[in-house]
Amino acid sequence: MKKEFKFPDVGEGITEGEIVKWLVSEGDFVKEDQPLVEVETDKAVVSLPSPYTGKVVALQGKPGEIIPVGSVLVAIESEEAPAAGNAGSSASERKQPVQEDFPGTRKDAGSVVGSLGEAEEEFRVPASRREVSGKTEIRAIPSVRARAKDLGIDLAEVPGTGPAGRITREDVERMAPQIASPAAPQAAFDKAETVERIPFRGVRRSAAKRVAESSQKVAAVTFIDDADITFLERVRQNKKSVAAEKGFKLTYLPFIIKAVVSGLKRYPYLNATLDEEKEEILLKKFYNIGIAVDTPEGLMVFNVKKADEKSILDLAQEISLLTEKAFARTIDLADLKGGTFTLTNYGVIGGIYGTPIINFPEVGILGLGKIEDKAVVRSGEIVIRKILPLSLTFDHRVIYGAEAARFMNTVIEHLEDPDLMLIEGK
Amino acid sequence: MPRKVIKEFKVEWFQILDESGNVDRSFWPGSDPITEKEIRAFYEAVVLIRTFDEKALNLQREGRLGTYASVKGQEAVQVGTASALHPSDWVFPAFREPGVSIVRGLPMKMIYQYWSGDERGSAIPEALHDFPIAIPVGTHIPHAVGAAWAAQFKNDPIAVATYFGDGATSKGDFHEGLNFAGVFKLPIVFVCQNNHWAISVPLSRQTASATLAQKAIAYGFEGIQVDGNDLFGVHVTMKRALEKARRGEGPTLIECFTYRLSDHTTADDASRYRSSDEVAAWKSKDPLVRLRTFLEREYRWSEADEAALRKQAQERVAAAVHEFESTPPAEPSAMFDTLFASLPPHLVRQKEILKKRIEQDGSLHVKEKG
Amino acid sequence: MSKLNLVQAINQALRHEMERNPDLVLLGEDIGRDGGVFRVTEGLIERFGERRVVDTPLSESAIVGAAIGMAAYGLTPVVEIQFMGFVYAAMEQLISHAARLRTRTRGRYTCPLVVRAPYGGGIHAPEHHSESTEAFFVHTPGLKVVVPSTPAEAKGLLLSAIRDPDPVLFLEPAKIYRAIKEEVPEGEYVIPLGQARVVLEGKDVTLITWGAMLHPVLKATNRMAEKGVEAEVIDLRTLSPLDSATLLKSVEKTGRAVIVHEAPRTCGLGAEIAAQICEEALLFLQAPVARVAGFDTPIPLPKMEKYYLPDVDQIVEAIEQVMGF
Repeated sequence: MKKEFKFPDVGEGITEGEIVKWLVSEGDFVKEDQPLVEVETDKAVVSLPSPYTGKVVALQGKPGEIIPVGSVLVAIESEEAPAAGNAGSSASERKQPVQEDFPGTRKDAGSVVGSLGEAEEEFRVPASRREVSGKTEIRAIPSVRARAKDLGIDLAEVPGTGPAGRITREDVERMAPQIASPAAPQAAFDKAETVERIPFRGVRRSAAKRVAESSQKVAAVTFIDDADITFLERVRQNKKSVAAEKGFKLTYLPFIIKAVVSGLKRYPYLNATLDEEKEEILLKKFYNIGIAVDTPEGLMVFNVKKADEKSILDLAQEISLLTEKAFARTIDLADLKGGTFTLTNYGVIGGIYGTPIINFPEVGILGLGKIEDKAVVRSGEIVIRKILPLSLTFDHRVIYGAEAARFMNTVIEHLEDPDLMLIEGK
Repeated sequence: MPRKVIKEFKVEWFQILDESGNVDRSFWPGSDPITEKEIRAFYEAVVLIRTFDEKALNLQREGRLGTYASVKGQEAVQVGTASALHPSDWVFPAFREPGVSIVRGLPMKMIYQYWSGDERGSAIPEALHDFPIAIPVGTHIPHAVGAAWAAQFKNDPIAVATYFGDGATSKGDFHEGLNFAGVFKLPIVFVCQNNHWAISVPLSRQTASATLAQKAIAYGFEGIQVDGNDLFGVHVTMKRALEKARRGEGPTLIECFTYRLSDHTTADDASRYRSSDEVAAWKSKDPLVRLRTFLEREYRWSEADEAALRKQAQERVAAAVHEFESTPPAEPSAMFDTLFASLPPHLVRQKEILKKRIEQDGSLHVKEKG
Repeated sequence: MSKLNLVQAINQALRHEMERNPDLVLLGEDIGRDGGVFRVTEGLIERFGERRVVDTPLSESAIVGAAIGMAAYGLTPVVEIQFMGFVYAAMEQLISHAARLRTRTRGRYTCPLVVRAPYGGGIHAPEHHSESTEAFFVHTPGLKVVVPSTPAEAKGLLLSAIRDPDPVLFLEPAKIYRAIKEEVPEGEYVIPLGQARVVLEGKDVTLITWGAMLHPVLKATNRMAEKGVEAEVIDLRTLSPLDSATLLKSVEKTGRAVIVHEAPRTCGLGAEIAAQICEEALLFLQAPVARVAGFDTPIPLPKMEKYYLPDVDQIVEAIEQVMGF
């Protein structure tokens, strides 16, 4: 049976050697353990013994050739019988002490047990891969992630109401009906005559998203009070014509804006945004007051930029212009974005007090109710005054109740005594 | 008188057969002579061990065996002591006692198995009261002491022998174990194979004691130094120590003065730290040589006898190699099976993981990891 | 039945087993004439004699090593190491030999050995006498590690440990040697190794602990019960092999876990348990797994010890944190 003798790692962790000299030739009969070849590994020459007894049928490699560990050195046609005696031993040394072979010197193995692999090539750290753009951090515990996955909900779309914006299981469950599949049970509505289906799209949908987000995230508190605008009304009436001449209406709004700005300057936390990620409150040093308008298409909120820098007339004009644009649906996106505080004047339609929803990510919204003459008590006497009901919803995460009350007082103060705006105003 | 000698000790050297193969006729044959039959058996054993050992070195060079610790030059210690033991005695070797194991009856194939990295080489046959090899130096000495203590406790009429080298005498367990044996007067013989080297550390660096034998004195019993290459001297000394132990007279430390003719292991290169002159000087004291010379002189041992004995040794070793190499590999999951008497759940699971991994690989041999 | 403390319960267990097994031998320093420095082996040498209750020389390595030899020979040795801090001298014997003997000889030789040691802090002892390094041994394949938390537990566990055919490290919390008394049944009963005990059932949070720490854990759960939190308390009893099934079942129920051990935090057994919970019960978790553990410093000397050891307040805080996550 032909057997191959492969160049072994002689326990020293070598990877190659150079053939120095063959000690046998092809056709020779060799015994197990008989030295076959001398191989040089680094400093020393090692003699390799044959693992088999048999006839040498092939020698691979010539003297001077470098052979890697594991390559075939010799092919031997072997017999099965074990070696019948070591040729070199006792015959010769009759008179001297019997010499025994000792293991040949070999190069420094760099170890005393086992075998250490030698480095084949230089170690290099693999080239770093390109940075994959990371998603913005989504905070949710594993079971919530699993639930979202089960429902087919992308966590990036879910507003988180837990601590530090963490998405809770409830947040996910709440999203579930919104992304409900058409297979939602319809049994009760199968008799379709009684139901009209309106596609939930466009302005209605985006408004819905906004109010939903606001409701979930904000700690909303509504605080109500009245402003006596009897005197302000006289001012407005007197000056209405000035605006009319310029082609626009002078409503209460510009005055209210000015009063609100005075309040915001004094209580800047109502003109802010909470950055939950960075855990910072951003106090804005600019005053873009939003006005909510009810258009045929639905609720729209545009804002008047830098309201602190504009005169009441300017504000009136701008409001007029923006309202027109809003109705004509030609309003710029820029006018819809960047607000810092919002006014909502549902009073023109009806209603006294309300609980307006904050225009997220702002932290305050002032609702204006129906202006009416009311009987009030002044200096112990009942008199008739023009009353503007005010409903301030503020985000209690950012604003303390006392602050909100003081802000409201400031606004009311300015509304009730417009001369303040005259002497303070820029 | 301010000072007086309260205790004096002496350490004796013992030799029967010298380097030239001559016996000390003042002693030989002695009151308890070694018979010709025994001597022939001794020689047969040392030749077998030398053949086994050389084969092991070749196997390692041929890539058929892992790291191996050669016993060359120490055969007389091992045959001389092991042949004095009874089968019921317990033996605790270190890691350079293949000769002891062979004389005690451990199959040679199992020694090859051990050094090839197969645990089955340590699954000592039931009939043999030998512990497997102990690698951490000296740590087996307390085991031997414990077994001797247990034998004494059970009134078993046995003795325990434990083997270790010069290096082990520096180890804490050597001292603790000997102390324990002395305190409890245990039936144990401590056989120190002083082969003069602990890897590259010579005896002179290992201890400042003039002899290793004298260390026994500190623990309250006798220490004797014997020419380790003198098989007769070793044998007689061991016999006496064992009898003493069996009589309940306590332990003995036998320092066998010998030499490690080979490297520490097959991965060591002794020429880095010792001179060829020194090796040559000890070569001339080779235990096999002097014993053969004695045989030639006393019993007309002939060339033909020698050749026949060598042939027989080679055949026996070759058969062992064949047995070793035709043993199929063990199931890898065996690494779990005897960890505990019964496997706890987490290990059952891990064993399954391994089995599955092997199934997927399609064979018993795990692919080379990258 | 009588009310016994831990010392007495262990003494009773040893006495019982020594009557039953004539090959049971005790070895250790000062265990004979002095009855052990904690009196755990009190009276045993008088009853069983000095061949079976052996006062050894001062050599932890040789004591454990000799015990290995005795165990292999067929005796049942029970070694007392005077304090866990001194077992380090015998680590080599435990790790290199006791733990491996059965497997490396493929079952030819086995090591039915018990090593007992007082362990843990809280007894105002000098340096090195308050060690809690059970993790070293849990990390050693082939060894079993058992820690009783009460007297009745100790007796049943020790009998199991002695009868176990493999080496067992039996760590006795010194803090509760005398501080807890309990009804301990007379006669024979064994508590199997590898089985944890659900001491209290609850639905809100799983508390996992062992040894002396069981007691502050129970106090903490009482406090939390007043706040409406129902904690489930598990006493591991055997640290290795770990009863993972019981732990995981509990965490799947409660979704919250707090592990309490006095051993240093890093690579304490709490880390292994937390990893297992993470691997097997991730989707049940409502909060990160909390660990209340000793600092990663050597346990301080008595003057500062109280700042180191986990106490009821720390455990309550951890529970509140996971509940409020």
